[in-house]
Amino acid sequence: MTPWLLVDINLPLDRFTLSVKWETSGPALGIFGPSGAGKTSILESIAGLRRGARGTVRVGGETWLDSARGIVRPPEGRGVGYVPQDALLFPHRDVLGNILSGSGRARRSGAPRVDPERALEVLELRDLRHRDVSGLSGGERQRVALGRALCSGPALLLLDEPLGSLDQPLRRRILPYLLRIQEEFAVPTIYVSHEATEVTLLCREVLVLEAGREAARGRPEEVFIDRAIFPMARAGGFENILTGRVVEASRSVATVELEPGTRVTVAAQGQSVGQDVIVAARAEDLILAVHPPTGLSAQNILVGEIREIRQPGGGDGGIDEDGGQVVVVVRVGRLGVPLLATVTAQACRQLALAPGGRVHLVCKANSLHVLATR
Amino acid sequence: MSPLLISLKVAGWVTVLILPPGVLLGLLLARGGFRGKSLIETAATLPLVLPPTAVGYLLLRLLGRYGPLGEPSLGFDLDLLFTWKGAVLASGVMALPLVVRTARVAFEEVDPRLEGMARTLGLGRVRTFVEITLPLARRGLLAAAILGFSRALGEFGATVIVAGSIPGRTQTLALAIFNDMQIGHDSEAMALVAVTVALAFAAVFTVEILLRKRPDVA
Amino acid sequence: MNLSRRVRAAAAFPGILALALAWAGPSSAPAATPAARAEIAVYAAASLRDVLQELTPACEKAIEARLVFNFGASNDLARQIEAANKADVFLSADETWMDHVARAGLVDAASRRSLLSNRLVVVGASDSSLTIAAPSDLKSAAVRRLALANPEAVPAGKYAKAWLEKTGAWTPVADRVVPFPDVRAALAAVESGGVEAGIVYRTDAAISTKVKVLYEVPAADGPKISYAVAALKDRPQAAAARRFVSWLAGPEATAAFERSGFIVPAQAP
Repeated sequence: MTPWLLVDINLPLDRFTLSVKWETSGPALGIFGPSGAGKTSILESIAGLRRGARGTVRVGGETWLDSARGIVRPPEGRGVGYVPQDALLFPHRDVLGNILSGSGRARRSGAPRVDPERALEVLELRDLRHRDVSGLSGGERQRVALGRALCSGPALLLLDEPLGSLDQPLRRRILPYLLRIQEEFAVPTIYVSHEATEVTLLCREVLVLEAGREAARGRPEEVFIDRAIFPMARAGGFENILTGRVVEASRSVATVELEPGTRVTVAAQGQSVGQDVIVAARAEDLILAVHPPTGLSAQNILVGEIREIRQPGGGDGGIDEDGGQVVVVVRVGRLGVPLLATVTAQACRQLALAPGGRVHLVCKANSLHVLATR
Repeated sequence: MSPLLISLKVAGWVTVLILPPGVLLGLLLARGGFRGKSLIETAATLPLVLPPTAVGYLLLRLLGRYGPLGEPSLGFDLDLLFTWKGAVLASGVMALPLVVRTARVAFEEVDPRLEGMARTLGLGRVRTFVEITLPLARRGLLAAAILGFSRALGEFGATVIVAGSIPGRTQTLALAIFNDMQIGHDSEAMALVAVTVALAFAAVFTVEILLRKRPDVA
Repeated sequence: MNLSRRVRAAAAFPGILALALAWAGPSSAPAATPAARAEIAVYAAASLRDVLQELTPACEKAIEARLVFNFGASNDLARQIEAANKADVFLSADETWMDHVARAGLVDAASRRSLLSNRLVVVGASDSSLTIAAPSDLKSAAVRRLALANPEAVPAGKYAKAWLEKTGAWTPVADRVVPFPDVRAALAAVESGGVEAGIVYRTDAAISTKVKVLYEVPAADGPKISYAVAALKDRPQAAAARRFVSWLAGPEATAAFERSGFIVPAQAP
């Protein structure tokens, strides 16, 4: 089956040459990497905004770029919905005017129409429709930019750090919109982010970029715990991500069943029984115990088996005397993804942790955040 | 026709005729990075720096009987010399650089990334220019038009050579002041000067307001 | 790399400037006469430019002073003299403007005299096919524009208008008249082909190779043309100025004037 997206680009940048070759059919793709790795340049090249890009770009059977054959489609012919990091709203139009900016193409493209009213509703912009964009907050601007891209009949959505310029609480609030958009409008999307959590939540496949070159590729859950990539992921804020369903809910806590038999207690944020939720716990927040702990205030104890121990620099197995943080990879029950916990090297030695050993993961209810509800 | 009306007529036509090419040149210089850009920049700025009489003389040689645009060479008569159309031509050449420069600055202040964004939304180059660039540059472009108009209003050196100072036909305010001065009609000259100052004041004042940067909203 | 190129380009500018100045050069300056110490400023009508410049070497020697000229339309010169009397001698193309300056009390009356006369001619470009046998011929459709020195102020223009009014030809051609700041500008307009015909002095037509005389206005038809000359009062070089005025009436000057086409009236003793 021909891949739906083919990107094979060479683009000289300031400090290195961006050189990426990527074929994929997934509906939601991520590009992950530290700042300056060239992520935005890839998006701009796909959108046709980078004149120096050479190579091939084929999207959904259409050739947007083929330097060898001299084909360079201008941006307006590419059917891209681009949401840049800084929103780039048109200052001379109000919210509705911005959102309708691409409606001409939406009509002409014949792609399934996104109803602007529906987009306004999903993005909670209905009350702001006639506002002057210069008075909007960061989060509102981002949502308007999203709406504008959606309503332009795009064949491909390019989101550059959609949550990047927002603070944590705002991020948590916008994330659901992105998920909603995926479900509701189902437009193939490429997300660029330096946050592993977002990529894991939003994407089925991720390409890790370092200094303009591919460092890894695959499913986010697997890529990010890879020993070569984890340090990068951690730098951006890595969280263990779990999905489950709410089986009990009260004012202060809710109980989430991750899989039959495995339940966790989370700090409640208005969840109701039956909801599907995504919860996250940072690797730093997980405590390890070799004996079943008792009398703890922490509400969650998960039993598992150590799959792997990694410390910075050295190989598997041996533990460095002067190592800093050690990453312990634990398999819990039948959870699809292993959990990662970080402990000090000293603790590791004291507890004589080793692969194959049985271990209890302890986590406070307050350390398990609900990222999104479906 | 009174000198005031002739001035308004000439300056009006000048503005209408040089605004499109002036704005396009301004756009070209603001956005384009092409070979020969410096050359075009220089050519467009030249009339600003040359003495108006030099420009007028060049035009006279061009359009006169023995010039490349004279009747014998072209086969027909352009009928520009010593007519109000000639005044429009002379003032237009003198006013063009001002329009180009002001338009250029106006376009440079429009973030080209906004134009890129419009293109990704499906707007071609022309629609992007019309729907995004022009509206965002409109204050500066209006200033360009007013500056062009004012410059044309005040033109003397090139106009007097190309169009002459024919009362009722090509004698603009500037030329009429000179004429009254020559004859010794000092009070008439002062009256015309007062009108000119009033017009110029209004124009420059409007331009200042248009070009003042709007305070940044957080 | 970028910087040194720009510096070199900028350095070229003074070089270009120097070249331009050398090419333009100082205008023909007469060889400095050894005896020249005093300097007199002569404000003279435009039509006298060529003949006075021709006479300068001999004149400077004779009067032992250097001549600095300011040529222009007599009305302009009169106002310049009124505004700031920097002139030592005024040579006007008509008596009216000399009277004007005299009324302002600036003229040394003893030195004033009527020096020259002239004739008006109708000129066209050298290859013109116009025939003007009488003033009324100027009405013809072939004469779309008629160049005159400004008939409201400049002597040459006033004379021309007086002639046309006298012969009844003014009204039909009035709206074809293109006024010029002085008579030489009107002449240039005819030379360039911008106008079909012009009325200038016979002496102007004579020095131009690009025009031909279509019609010479007979003395009887035209107004009385009289050039006035006078030294100006309260000036440091009064003596030299008076010597100059006298010299202009002398034989050498008279011969030059007549050669150029001026008319020197018989002098009253």
